[in-house]
Amino acid sequence: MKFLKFRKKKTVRKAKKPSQIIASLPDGAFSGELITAFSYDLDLDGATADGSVVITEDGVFAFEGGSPVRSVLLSDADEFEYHPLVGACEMCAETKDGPVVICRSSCTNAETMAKGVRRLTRFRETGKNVEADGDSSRVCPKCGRRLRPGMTSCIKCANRASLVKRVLKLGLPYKKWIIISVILFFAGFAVSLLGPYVNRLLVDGYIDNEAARSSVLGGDGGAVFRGFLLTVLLMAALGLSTYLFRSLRNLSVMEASCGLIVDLRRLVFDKIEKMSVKTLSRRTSGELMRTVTWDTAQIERFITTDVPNLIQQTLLLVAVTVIICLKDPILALLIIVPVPLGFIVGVKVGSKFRRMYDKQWRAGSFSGSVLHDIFSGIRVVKAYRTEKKEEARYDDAIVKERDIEMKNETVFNLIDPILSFVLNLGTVLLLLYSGFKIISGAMTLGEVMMYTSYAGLLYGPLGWMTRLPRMLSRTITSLVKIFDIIDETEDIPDAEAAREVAVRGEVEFDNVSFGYDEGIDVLKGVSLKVKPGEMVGIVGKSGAGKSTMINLLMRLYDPGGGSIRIDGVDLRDLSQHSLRSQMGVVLQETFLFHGTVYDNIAYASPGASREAVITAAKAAGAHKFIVKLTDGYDTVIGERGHTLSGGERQRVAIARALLHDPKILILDEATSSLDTETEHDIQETLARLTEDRTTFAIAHRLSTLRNATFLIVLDKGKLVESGTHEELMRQGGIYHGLVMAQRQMSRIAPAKQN
Amino acid sequence: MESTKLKDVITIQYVTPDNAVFTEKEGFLSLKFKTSDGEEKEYPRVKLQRNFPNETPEQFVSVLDKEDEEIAMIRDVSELGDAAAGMIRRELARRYFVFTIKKILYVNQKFGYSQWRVMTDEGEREFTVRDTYRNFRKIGTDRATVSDVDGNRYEISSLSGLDRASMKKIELYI
Repeated sequence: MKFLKFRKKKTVRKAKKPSQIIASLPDGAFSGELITAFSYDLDLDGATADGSVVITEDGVFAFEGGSPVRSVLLSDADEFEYHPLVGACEMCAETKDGPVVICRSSCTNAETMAKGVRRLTRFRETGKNVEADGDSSRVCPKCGRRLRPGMTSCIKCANRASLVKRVLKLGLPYKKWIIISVILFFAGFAVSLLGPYVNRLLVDGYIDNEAARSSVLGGDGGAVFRGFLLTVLLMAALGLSTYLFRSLRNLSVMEASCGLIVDLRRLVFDKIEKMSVKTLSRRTSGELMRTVTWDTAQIERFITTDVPNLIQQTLLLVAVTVIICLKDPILALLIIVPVPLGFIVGVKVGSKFRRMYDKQWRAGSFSGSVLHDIFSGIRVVKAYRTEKKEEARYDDAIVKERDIEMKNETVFNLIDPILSFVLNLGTVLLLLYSGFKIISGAMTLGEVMMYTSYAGLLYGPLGWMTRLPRMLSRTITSLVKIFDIIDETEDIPDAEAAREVAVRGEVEFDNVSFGYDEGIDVLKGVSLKVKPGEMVGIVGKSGAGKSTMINLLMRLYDPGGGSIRIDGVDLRDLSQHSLRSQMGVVLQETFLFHGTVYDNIAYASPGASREAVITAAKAAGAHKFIVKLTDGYDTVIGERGHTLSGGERQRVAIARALLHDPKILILDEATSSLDTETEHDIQETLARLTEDRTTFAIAHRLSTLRNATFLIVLDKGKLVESGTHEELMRQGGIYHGLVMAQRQMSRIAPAKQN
Repeated sequence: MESTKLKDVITIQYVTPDNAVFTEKEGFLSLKFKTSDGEEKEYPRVKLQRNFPNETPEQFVSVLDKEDEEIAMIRDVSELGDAAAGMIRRELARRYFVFTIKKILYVNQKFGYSQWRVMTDEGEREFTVRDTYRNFRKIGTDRATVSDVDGNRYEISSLSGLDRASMKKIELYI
């Protein structure tokens, strides 16, 4: 009991609002108009502290236990930064006198700290104190608990009843079949209730009946045998109809569940496809797959099987109890007395078994993954002659699995008989009681047999009910996951009056800032203007923000600050469909779907003529190798098809991008896997093609960008250089350095061939 | 001909008491460092990064500059003399923040998450772990770490040292 009480006492960790923080500080503790405030929980030496930071238009003030500890004036600081540490985070400032650590906290306050710093940075950039995009705090509206990433509703507060109601609505189209299945169940049940009764007639009327026996012995057996045969036939008919009802019931359940699972998967899949990349990247593809396949199956099972079962088994329990009670109350009592005991033991032992087999399942899946790992890397294993080592690794895994299984089986086989015994204790009591009654002549053999069968009918639903808590919790888990996806709001919605426009190709980045994670900006105030038909080469080290620019241009994400305009219209006001349909994109990772070469090139323009596809393939330099494939454009490629080399895949991807004559062409390392000669050919074609289309090209190999109208150089998210090749070379900056380094490399290359 | 060994071509720049002077500021470290070619440079703030945080937390610790470029590596903290070692250990403790679990009061698996209530060296803490089997990691034979949804870390420094009741609650994840 003490433990239960303890569990109830839960401290709900609420994220403190800025106003609450301010209220707890003495008057005049800081100056300036408030921007934001947050709490932190570690002092600079890593000991726990009760701290808070107030950010105003004057400066940043840190307090611990209500008294000021540090402050940095905005005018003294070059920059404020948020740094993630391991298991902690900190806010720092770069001042004239060097770096200053303002505060440190465990990760519990990481999000509010990152947001605070971001808000301050935006204020310093724009002079405006606004919540940055995506700043709306992810806190459960009900309990104030912080929400987990990827969750829009708080699991604790999820109203289970309303969830269940919502999910049952999904089953409405199939209610006809579900109702039929319940009716069929009871029809079958009624028949099976008759079974024991007829059985009793058989035993008492013929088999164990002195009168019947004596009339047969007396030579007058005809009527008796006819009656006997009739009863046997009746039993057979009962048995047959039980099976018939069962089959029909299964068929109608099937009808409902097959339809429902398709509906559910369609619903969830459609919603997932509509999600933005940002929302999607919060979930792994494995997680999403599991939701579409497993979670939907759980819901389907719940609606079509569990709910009807709940009704059926409850009614069954009541019906059988009533029947026995009516016949013999003392007997009923004897059967029912061990039930609560059995129920409790069943639930307890059930959860023990579940844990045991969970462990075994994990060990099994571990040895499976070891095997998968080894087989995938079998070339490496052979190359380093490490077969023995891998053998030992796999051996370890399966031996562990065997040990767990053996232990589980031992425990199971020790406990299970005892459990069955407890559950069936009622039967023993029943036999004891009815045995006495038979001996004293108060009950017939047939009656005893009937009661035993009824008792058996009773233990079925009871056993099922011990599994109920587990089943419900599994269903709720799946429910929460599914509704989490269904209820996800679109975070990159089309504006209400989203415009469909024919793009000319003028692109403008206006002071664009963006970060994938809170507080860490990948792009910092990038401004850029591109006229229609120009080709921009984007240069910079990996991680400088090149691909991020592209992602923003495609509007896979919305910028955190500033705006991107096409033909003078903000991207957010353009319909996403019309925007992307006028862009051709070749991404760093070329992905080919399972299908023919034709299918892959015509992926975004289904029904494209064969001539158009061949033309695009020629432009992309892909035609050359496609004609060599046995089945030409009909060759099946993709995951389970013909394997293409990296360069070949890239050319297919380029053809795909060129096919629909896009106004804006984006090439993200599109030709990196090609040999220089092929690349050169494609460059020439592209140069002719790019006349009236705006092109953004990212490349590490700078020669790729030789046709660019101008180049921009990104460094740590900032646009640091821009101009033509000649201009940048004259500047002697980062670009100059990169070109020189690459020249050096190409000079060495031929020398080595000799 | 003697073949060239990898270690003849690649040298690891180590921090020694001779080439490095650490100073502790308010909550961080700065460094004066002399490279092998005798060039001396000052770093107002350096970052320490463990290369084997689980296996050897005090060996092979990288010293990084503001841009996360490695300045040099500490082979073993204890090689640097008591004063410097003390500073480095304090800085490591600041950068790697871990709650040490002394006792597990309550663990409950629910809806794909688990709720934990533990006694740590910083007092009682309650936290939530997502995908517990992945975020509960056993290190070596006797240690384990748990990461919660916020990114906080908790360590059990000795599994065998846990009391039976605590052990029973986490048995499933080991």
